[in-house]
Amino acid sequence: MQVAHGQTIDFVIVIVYFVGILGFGSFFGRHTKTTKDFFFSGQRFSWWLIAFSCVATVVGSYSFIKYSAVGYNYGLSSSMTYLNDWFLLPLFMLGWLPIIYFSRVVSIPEYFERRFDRPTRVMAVIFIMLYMVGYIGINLYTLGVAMHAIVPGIGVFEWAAIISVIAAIYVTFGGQTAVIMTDLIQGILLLGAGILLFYLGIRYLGKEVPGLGGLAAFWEGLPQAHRLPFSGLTTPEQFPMAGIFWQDMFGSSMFFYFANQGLIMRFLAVKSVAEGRKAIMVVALILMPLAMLAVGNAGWLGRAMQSFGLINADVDPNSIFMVVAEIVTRPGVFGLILAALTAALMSTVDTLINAVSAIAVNDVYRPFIAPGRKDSHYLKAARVSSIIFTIAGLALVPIYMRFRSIYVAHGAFTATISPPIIVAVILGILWKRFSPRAAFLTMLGGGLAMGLSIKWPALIKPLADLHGMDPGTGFDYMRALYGFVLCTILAVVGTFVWPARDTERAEGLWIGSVKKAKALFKGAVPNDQVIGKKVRLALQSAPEEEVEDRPTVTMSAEDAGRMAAGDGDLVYVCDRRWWLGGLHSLHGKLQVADLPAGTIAVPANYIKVNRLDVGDQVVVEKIL
Amino acid sequence: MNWVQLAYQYGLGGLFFFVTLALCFQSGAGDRANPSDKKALVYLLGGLLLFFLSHLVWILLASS
Repeated sequence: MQVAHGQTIDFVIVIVYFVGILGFGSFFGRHTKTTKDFFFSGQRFSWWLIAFSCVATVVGSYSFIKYSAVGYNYGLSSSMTYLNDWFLLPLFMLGWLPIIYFSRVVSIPEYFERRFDRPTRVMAVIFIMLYMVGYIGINLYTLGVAMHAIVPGIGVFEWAAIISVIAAIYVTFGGQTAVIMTDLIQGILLLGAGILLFYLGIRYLGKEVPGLGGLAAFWEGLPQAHRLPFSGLTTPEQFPMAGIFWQDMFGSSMFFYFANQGLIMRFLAVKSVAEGRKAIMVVALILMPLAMLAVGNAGWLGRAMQSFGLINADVDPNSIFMVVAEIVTRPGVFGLILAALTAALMSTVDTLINAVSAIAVNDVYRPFIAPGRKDSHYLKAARVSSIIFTIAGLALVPIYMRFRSIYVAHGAFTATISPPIIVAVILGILWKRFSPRAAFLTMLGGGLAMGLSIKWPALIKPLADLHGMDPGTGFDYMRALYGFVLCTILAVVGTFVWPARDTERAEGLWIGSVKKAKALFKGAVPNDQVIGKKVRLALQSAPEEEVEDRPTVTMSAEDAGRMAAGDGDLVYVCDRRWWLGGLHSLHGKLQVADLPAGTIAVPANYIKVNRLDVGDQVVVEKIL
Repeated sequence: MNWVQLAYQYGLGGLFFFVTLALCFQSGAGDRANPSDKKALVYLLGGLLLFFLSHLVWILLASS
């Protein structure tokens, strides 16, 4: 095999990685028995699994190439896009997360129907599915291009096909559990490999630059402007801080937190809202800064190396990641870096495949095509749709290769739909009176207005003028701000013209009714004013119960007292091995009974389905 | 230097942060009597302060 970058050993490492991830992902097929397992993994996982999975999803195959190029051109300010998410967290943690979790909203379109009406749901389905299928294709295409540059013996389409077959196999068998588990491996790999690259780069600079330590050489090698955390407010035109703030934080990040189907499914897989909050805080506070370092450091190192004459001044910024990786790593380690690149792609594509299949089954097939069937029928439909959408994404690769304009058009389409969807979701969460007609108008009119601004950019001018931006100087970055302003105006005017007739419809779906949603979720008054202890109990078998939402679990009054729990409370029973992340666990309704202290009884059929073992110690905690 | 950008990001971002935080607690989505919500509030404010101080120190280091 002809290898343009690296050596055969590197290529072998990538192949071993592919086979390993395929086997690991497919292994979790045995955990997928229902559509709830396939899409949401049964609401059982720990915060750290979800946190790594989120980061693996955010970092796509293009991230290493793109942010290394940005880092090379503009220095440490490439970190801006990864360090501005914290502002969104109050609304996510205290509003959106409890709403979707307690109201059991399974998709963005479903939220739109329950909160507004069916026409708004249909529009959301069309927008989101077009976006997601196109995005699968883009990820496959960009990885194909990157891998083809390394191994020219295999074409762009063939690379995309190899990756998509691997991802489709484990997603089809293992569903959401396979996605989360493989994302853990892929997240660790891509963060670890990126940080290793930085360490090796610093060591390399230390050796090559006489009289300076590695870190000092790195810092000295960066031009003054490249050391700052922000670029200019309105300059450079390709990367102005104000433009990035609006486009990235209020555009991409907000879409990610509030309208990304994959992310919603992750947080529906977490064992409790408190655990979900922990996960998102760790993502924004620790993992995103690490991801920023992992994906951008090759560019920073490249700039420092160039200052000391260690690489050519005319190097193409888009190839700086490969150039730096090849210089500072040895054969074998370079293969690990390549595996990280593919890990970044696969962990994004697997999420997209699972998410688009969730919308296809829950928002199209189940309500419109085949209502009222058994769950096993929908599980089969989910698996078939995973394959269909992978093929659809793959079919777009040759089209992107042939018609660059379609690739660009998808970017424009994404920019067009993001602000209307975000404004509809955010106002839906915050404003009880926001009416269905106004939501529909916001999506349709907002999308149209965004489209017009692409055709006639002068429409953005008033907002760009406010920042002193002229056409050709980062002007386009202000499109997101234009979209938010316009969509908000449409939403407010629409609500006053067509007020909501039935505000009760919003119950459980806006921030003023979170408490009610919580009570409905539990089926009784929540008991969360006192946090009890986690207790270790021996698992006993109780008579089988008909499979319902939650089984009855019984324990002694003494153990319940330690947990500050009582009859009817929602508890979580988990295998004592924390490192399984909740894979073997269940939620149950507590019944205090005359049972010996230190034991818990769970219906035998639930013990079997959730892979717990009678006689083993389990960890039990109160959820609500 | 980056002072205007720092003010822009933490001014507008901070506005969104505090307005949404206030709305959540005012509407009852957040409850200061609830230990989990109280903990979330402390971490949210602490995290914001941490990001702000990190950016501040970063600018000072890069400017020196």
